Amino acid sequence: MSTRQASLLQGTLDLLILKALAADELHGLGVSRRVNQITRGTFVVQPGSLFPALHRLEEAGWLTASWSLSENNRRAKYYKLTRAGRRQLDEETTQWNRIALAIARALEA
Amino acid sequence: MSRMSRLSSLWRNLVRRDHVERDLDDEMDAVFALLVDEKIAGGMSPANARRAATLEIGRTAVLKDQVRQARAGAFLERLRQDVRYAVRSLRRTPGFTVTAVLTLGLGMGANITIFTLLDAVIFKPLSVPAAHELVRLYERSPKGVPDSEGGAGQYLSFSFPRFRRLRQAIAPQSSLAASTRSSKFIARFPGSVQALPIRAQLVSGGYFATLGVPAARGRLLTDEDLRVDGADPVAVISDGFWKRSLGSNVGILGQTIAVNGVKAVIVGITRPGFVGLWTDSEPDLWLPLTLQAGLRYQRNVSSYTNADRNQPWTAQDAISWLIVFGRVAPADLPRAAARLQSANHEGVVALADTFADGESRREMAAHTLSVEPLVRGFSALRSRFSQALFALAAMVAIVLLVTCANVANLLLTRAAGRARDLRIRVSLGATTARLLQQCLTESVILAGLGGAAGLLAGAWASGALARAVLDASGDLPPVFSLDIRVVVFSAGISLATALLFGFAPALRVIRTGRTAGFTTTERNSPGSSIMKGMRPLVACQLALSVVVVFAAFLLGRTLINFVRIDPGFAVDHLVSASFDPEFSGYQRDQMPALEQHLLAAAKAVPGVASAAVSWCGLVTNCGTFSGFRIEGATERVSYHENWVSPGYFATTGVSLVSGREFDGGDNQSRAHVAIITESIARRHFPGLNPLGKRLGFGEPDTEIVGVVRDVQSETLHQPPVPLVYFPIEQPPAFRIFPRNLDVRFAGAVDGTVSAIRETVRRAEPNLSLDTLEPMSARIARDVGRERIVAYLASAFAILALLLAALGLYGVLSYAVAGRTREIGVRIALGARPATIAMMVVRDALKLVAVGTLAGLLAAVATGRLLRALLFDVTVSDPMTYGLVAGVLAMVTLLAAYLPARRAARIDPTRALRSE
Repeated sequence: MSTRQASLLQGTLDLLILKALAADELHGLGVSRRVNQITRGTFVVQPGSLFPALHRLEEAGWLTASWSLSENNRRAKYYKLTRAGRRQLDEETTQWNRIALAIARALEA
Repeated sequence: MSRMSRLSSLWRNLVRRDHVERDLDDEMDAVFALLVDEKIAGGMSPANARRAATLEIGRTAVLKDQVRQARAGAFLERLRQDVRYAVRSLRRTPGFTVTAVLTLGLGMGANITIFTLLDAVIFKPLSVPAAHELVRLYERSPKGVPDSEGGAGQYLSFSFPRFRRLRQAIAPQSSLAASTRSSKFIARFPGSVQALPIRAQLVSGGYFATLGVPAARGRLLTDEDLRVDGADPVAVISDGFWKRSLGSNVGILGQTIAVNGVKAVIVGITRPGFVGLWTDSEPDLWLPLTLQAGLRYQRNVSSYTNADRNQPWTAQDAISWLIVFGRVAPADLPRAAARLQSANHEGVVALADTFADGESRREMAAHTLSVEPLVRGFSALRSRFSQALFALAAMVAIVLLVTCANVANLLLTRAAGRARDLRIRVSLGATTARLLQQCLTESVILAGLGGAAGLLAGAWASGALARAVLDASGDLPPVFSLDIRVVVFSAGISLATALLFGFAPALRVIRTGRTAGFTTTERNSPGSSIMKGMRPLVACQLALSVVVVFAAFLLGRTLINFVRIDPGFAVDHLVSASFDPEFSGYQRDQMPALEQHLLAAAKAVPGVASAAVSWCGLVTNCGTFSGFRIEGATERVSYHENWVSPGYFATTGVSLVSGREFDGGDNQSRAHVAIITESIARRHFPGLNPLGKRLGFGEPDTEIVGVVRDVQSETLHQPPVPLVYFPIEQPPAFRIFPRNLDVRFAGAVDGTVSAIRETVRRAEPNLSLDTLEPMSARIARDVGRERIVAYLASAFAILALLLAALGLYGVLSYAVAGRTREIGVRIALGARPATIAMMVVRDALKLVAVGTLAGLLAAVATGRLLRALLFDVTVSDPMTYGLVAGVLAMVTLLAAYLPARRAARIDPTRALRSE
């Protein structure tokens, strides 16, 4: 946590959140932890960017939210991918791969 | 599950803002608690854990704000997408878009037109501050003759002494003011010879203060201005008069205007839009009411026998001429009303004490005062047009429903072509709520465009109608202007209309997109589902238009019945002029000469057969009446009366039943005579010869020399009025002089009217004529309401029928297109074209039969609402049913013609190959 964190590219956060939720529904903090875990600690998403993003994605129809109990019996708001969200994840993944490949090639050249 | 949660999210965002807020609070609290738990589990002390969590989350207020912005941004983004998508798809189908917008524009334009008029005539409050505090005062009498303003048994006007007494009773907490109605005067500016006819009101000093309006320039009237001694009289002019007639000249303040010869200094100009208490006319000038005697103002007055109308009215308690209104804070109203009532009772008793006649005394003392809200002011149009406007409003509402059904049909038809597009969107994960929102965005855009078109059309049409009703060619009173209320109404019906025509098709379309999977041959499944939606819509359209057509028939026949009435006098070849010699400056002793000059001038016009003058003209709403003592009757009887010159009955064509007309010999030096109408003769002298019997005001001292037919002298809307006629050369003690000239002529109307105008102007250059027109024009104005209502109803009926026919045409065409293959097979198997065409027509007739039947039932049920507007027509008249059914049958055949022809001409080989 003390290490310098990579700043997130515009649009990357949404992709990471969708990816984090691809396997299972999670509450807000859970999303943050999962992103940290799947990026091997490269990214730490602060609440200040996480929650606006979650709500934006919900408003766009890619996530739904519902209240339920957390593992340690606290009430928490859980987020879940919708069908449209899953579709969006696929699209953004393809897009990202194309860009990443292109940039990698550009840097190799 | 997910669809439901999306719907509820939409609901939350749009409607339940504070629920969203609370949910956000909860979430932040929960996140904080989880974070603290996590840190404690990681080994921190609770206090440190809390501190660390606070540090990590930051200030929750800031975070929440960021979340809110993100949400709003996403919502706007989605809206932008929907609008863009809708605009694109509307552009792609310009035929559909133009048809829908025009249809909606017509439907909504009709509604906006009627609403503008309804609002102006009935609903809009006076444009003064806190209009809800205004009250009007009137007296009730247990039995009494109706006042021209108030209706049966209500007296709207008060004497000046009574007004002062009442004002005293509630001063200074509440204020009371008095005003006359607008009345015509002749104004001149110094140095100018040109006489300017103006409309002015005489008001009390507190008039403007009570209404709470300030001056635009200069000052308004105060109590000081009511003093008659010494100081020069003052006047306030209206903004409209200032702009129209005085060219917005600021220098007019401080100048003198002579009104009926009385010089007054113009001290102020009112603010634009201020018209006083009557919303449908704009006075040019306001003058202190103490100028009544000087101005020789004699209108809109009722007086008791001990009054002298030639003396100043301000000093007399027996002359009622002032409309009294006040401003009372709602909390004070009960107390103020009680005080006013007791003060009025004292006033009534004091007045009754001056009466000689015991019966009149008792009647006067029984008068009671009523205090009622005056928030919407007075309107001459209100009582005359309320019912008509409500009926028209109901009709245009129905027309709008028909319009909605039409646009819904168009949407459904178009949706068939978009099914594929929709299915792709559904398979891409679009939720029902999302699709619904998208479809409705499109509907709202369509309705918005239609509403804007309707607003333009409505502004024009309502102005034109108001002008027609008010007989005005120039500026309309400001109450008719397009304002925020009309705009809000237009926006409201646009939105409601969008939901009405958009919702059901959207749902059906979305269901079509959902249920049918990916198929390439998609002609049958969505088509039949959409047909299922179209047929009931068309049946509803037909039923609704039947209701409007039915109403139009009833109103149209009412107009025809009015036009066919024989009023009892001969309307054709009769020209009438009305005027007020007193207002033109004539003195009483000049009246006999005026009469002679007018008659001579009229008779000098070529083609004129006869001419006569009278106190009351026919159909001029003149109506004066008195109590009469009649030979043989024990009680006083109240009858209308008129004073006429010799030749009056021959000129107007009122037939003499027995006795004689007045002749030149019936003048002041001879015994007084009278002519009565048949109904009076029948009532008082049944089976007897009325000639030679007597009647009179005080004593029965006037001999009846003739009996004439009862005529509808005031209006075609009332049965004939029993009348007592006297020779105008034998006037009574009160003011009676010629105010009307009737001329019977042979030849062309236009030439005669202008020739009479010319000779009258030459004979009496100082006399200004209020009207000079053929009697037929007066009659036409009398049935103006019926005419305008019948024309509008017919226009709405035609519109509704047209829309319904379009709907029917659409559904039939669609059905034929969908059955091309089947029809092809039939033709291939030997069906004759006529049989195929009949099949389509039968299909149409089935729909029309259902629609007509339902419509007629609804029409009969609602027809009662029209009863007050009808004349000599009943709702249950079988002829009307027949006519309506006939019209519908014609519409059916018209709508079915093209689809039937198309069906009959289907080429079987091509039809079969196309699938």
